[in-house]
Amino acid sequence: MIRVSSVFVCVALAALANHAQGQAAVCAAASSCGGGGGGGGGGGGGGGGGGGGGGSSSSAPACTDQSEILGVRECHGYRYGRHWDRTGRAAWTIELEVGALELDLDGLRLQGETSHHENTYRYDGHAEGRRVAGRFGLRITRFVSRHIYLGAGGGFFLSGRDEAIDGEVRTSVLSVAGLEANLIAGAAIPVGRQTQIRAEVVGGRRSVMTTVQTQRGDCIVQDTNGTGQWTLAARVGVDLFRAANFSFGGYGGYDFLQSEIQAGLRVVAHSRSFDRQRRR
Amino acid sequence: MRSLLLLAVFALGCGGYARTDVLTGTPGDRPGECLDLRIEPHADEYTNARGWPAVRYSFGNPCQGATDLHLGRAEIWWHGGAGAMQLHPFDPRDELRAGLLDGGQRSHEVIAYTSTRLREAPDVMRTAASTYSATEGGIPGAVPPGQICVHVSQIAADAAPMSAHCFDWNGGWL
Repeated sequence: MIRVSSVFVCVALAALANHAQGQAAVCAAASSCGGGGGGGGGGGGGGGGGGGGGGSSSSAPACTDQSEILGVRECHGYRYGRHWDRTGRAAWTIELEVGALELDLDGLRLQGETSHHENTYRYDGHAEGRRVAGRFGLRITRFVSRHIYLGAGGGFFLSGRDEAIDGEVRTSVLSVAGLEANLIAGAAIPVGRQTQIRAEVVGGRRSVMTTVQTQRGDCIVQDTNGTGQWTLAARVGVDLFRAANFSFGGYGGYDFLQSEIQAGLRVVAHSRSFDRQRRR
Repeated sequence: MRSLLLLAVFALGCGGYARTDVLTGTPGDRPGECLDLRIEPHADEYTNARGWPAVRYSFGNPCQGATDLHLGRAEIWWHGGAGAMQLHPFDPRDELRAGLLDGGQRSHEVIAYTSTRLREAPDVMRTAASTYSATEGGIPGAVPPGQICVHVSQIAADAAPMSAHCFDWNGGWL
């Protein structure tokens, strides 16, 4: 079980790093990271001269401005303030999470029929114990006031093999996987220049798929059970800003409906610098 | 391991805006509490052909909160032997307006100035050039030789007091 979870986490981090690599390329194109993803750094005009027509291997002719001055420059959708004016723009975040949750399997009903040697066996019971699942999530939030945000998210989790349960038919839970969809409501408070603390409630619905293996003698059969669960978790987290529009941090929480502990790391892209929370 | 390394490089490499990113130690530097501004003359074929002085405004916000910025409030004055006159920004699409520069961000804009308030789009202006009353050399809005002074005290609440910055002008930047 532990080995499977570790693999999951590595895969998730690789995906995250690939995403980061893409962002780094964007940073490089904007000539500096300080401008952030939010559009600073002069954008397409940073090249000077002709306004950054840029080379292209496509057949379409590259747009080249006659001049970089206001009123003449128009390539790449330029308009005054496009690269820096944030008037009226809401603060959005996109968050990638990699973490773990401690699944409580006691309430997970396993029910089905399997055939071994032309005999049909019915199994009906509950899974037992707790196990750690790796989790990967994506969330989008929007600040509705200076400190309050709402959002939605989704994710999946996966847990590996359990110990076999001996009986007339040897039964074991091969894996527990789930897809989840959540709504989010929270508050963020800045602490110091680079840090903010978040408290939030995350609730939603998830679909849990359990793969069960039954074995009698040399006959091995797998079956899948599916069930839906409601979730409602309280979370606290810390974000550490590495740039005005980028932070990473961690979270921890507890799901009251499923009696689960959850924790993880996340990277966050912010549409507004520091989520528009700072006055100076 | 490579993925983690990439992630770490990205996380540590993208630092925030630093004041020196905009201010380069030139006479056009105008530092403020939450608005750093650099004023530079800008020239290209388009402005040279029309005799318009153009100014490149590079700006950044070293604070974490947003700051207002209105480059349309910059006052550009021409000083010459015949006296002084205020120049007008070339803004045919009427784009100049107040904006909000987020904390930690920087960008730039380039604005040309004319001796006549020109509202027409460039193409229209070019074909109808003969209908304008020429000021210098028969080119609409051309600015005669003299000194161009850029007053930026009004472009942001945070910008005051910023002194004017002047350039010599001879139909092109000297």
